[in-house]
Amino acid sequence: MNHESILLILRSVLIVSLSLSIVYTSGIVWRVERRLDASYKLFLVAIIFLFGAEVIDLYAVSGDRFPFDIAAVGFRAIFGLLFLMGMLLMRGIVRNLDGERKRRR
Amino acid sequence: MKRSRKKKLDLRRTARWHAASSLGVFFAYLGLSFLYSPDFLLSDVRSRYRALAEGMVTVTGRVLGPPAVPIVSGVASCRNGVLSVSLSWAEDEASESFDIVRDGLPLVSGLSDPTYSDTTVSVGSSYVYAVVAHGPMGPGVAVSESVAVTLPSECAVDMPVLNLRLTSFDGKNVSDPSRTSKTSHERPTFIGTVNIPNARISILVGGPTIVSAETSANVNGYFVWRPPFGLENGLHTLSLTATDPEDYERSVSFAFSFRVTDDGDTPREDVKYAITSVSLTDNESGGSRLPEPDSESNPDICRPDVSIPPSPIRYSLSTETGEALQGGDMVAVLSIRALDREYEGRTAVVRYVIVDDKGQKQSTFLAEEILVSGGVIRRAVPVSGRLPEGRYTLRTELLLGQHAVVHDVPFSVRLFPFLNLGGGYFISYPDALHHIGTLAFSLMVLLFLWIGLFFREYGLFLGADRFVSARHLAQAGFFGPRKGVDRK
Repeated sequence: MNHESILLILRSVLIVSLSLSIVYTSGIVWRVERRLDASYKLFLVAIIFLFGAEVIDLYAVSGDRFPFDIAAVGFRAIFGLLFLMGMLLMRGIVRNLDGERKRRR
Repeated sequence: MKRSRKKKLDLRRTARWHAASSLGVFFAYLGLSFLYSPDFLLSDVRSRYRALAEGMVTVTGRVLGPPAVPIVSGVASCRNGVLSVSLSWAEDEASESFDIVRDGLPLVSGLSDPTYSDTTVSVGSSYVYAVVAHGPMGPGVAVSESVAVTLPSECAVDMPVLNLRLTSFDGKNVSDPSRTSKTSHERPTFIGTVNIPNARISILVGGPTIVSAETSANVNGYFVWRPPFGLENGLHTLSLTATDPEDYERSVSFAFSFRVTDDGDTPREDVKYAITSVSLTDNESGGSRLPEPDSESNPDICRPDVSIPPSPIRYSLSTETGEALQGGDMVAVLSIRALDREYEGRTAVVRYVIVDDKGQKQSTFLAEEILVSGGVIRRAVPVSGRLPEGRYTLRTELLLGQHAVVHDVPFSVRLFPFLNLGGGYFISYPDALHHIGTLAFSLMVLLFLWIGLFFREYGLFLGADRFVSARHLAQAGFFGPRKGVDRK
């Protein structure tokens, strides 16, 4: 198997995994509410941005590639921020339900 | 009742698992077959269909006898410096493979053809060969009589006589190179051939304008050169030297004289550099002189005896990868070997020119570079997206005072890619177009699968009983107490 095939298979696995993640995260967003809903919405948007970055990276552009590189890196940065926000929201839910916050007050 | 329900549930689970795994295997097979080769699936289906259709199989067999004893003949030969002993014997149906024994030791085994050429031989040596024939049935073996072969005591390489010719000057055939030609073009084109593939051509133009440059011939020995700057009016001498890139001692020279005249019709370019010179090779340390005129044989030729001032810079030109993508960059690497103190740390204009295999200039790029002795200059030279795929030459013209130092390096332009896989690997548009059917089909299948899964997920949500919040999760026991922690 040549290098092109290996890279193509790995890229395909990544893109297919991300597209499936979009579907199943949407399913969770439809089913949950309140803060749980908000955190999963953040996860969903983060995954969409990562998916966008991968697609932009895959497409070869003639001439100046800088705007596309900026877009891809920007999308990844947004993914990181949204993922962090969703994770913090989820962390807050867990701490709240555990009663950790009430005890501190 | 409970048992039968459990049985039904188990059966359903098994059926689902079976369906899911079958679908998984099917899509994995489909995907892998398309990735491996687009024709794989079709050929596989076709072969399976044929295997089913051709139900009747006829088997024929024949019992062979023992192999015949090979009658071997051996001939020693020397062809262009390569010594060999050619062994041959008659073909035999009952022999499946042959082994060769040289001087009592195995030389080669498992040969299927009744000939062999032994090239691991020395000048003036003698060898004794024997051939062992093996039959396919049981222990059938036949050994030939020994054959002694003596090699010649000499084996010389016949090198062709080198031949360098100027075939065309300024668009006109050069029938008699000893006669002085005339041109009104200040930058005439020189086309020639040499019987050395990829030869390095050193060019030296002497006269009112002195130009020294280097270029390379293609695999057919064809080369085209044009002075980088306009030549002044007057008598010039062209001196060409072709060198074999695989053997620097093999070289051939050619001289030609021509006169540049101003006919008033052709507009002249600005001649900024009246004298141009170049360091041809790394070994060249000082100024070089043009060949002495052969005035006795041809009084028309009056070659000026001009001493070329030493080049203020010596550098080599190479490329980082040897290839560039359409619309991408070609990274040129200029390694400065020696530099006059006068120019140390100063900037100089370098002209980067991309020339096609016919010698036509395709693009020009100017850049100011800082010169440092022993330094390396890396410059990304833009390659036009409209440049067709093929072989090109990158030429650098470095201007220092009255000197122009010209170097050439070949490179290839690759088609612009369609998909960037990362790590420098690409899928080009022609590749993508070649597999357009497979790609479109795969994308359609994946898209439909994705939409199907999306709607399935939505359908499952519509069938859900309630919205789930964090409190529901807590009530459902998702947040149980930790072991060993006693909180009040």
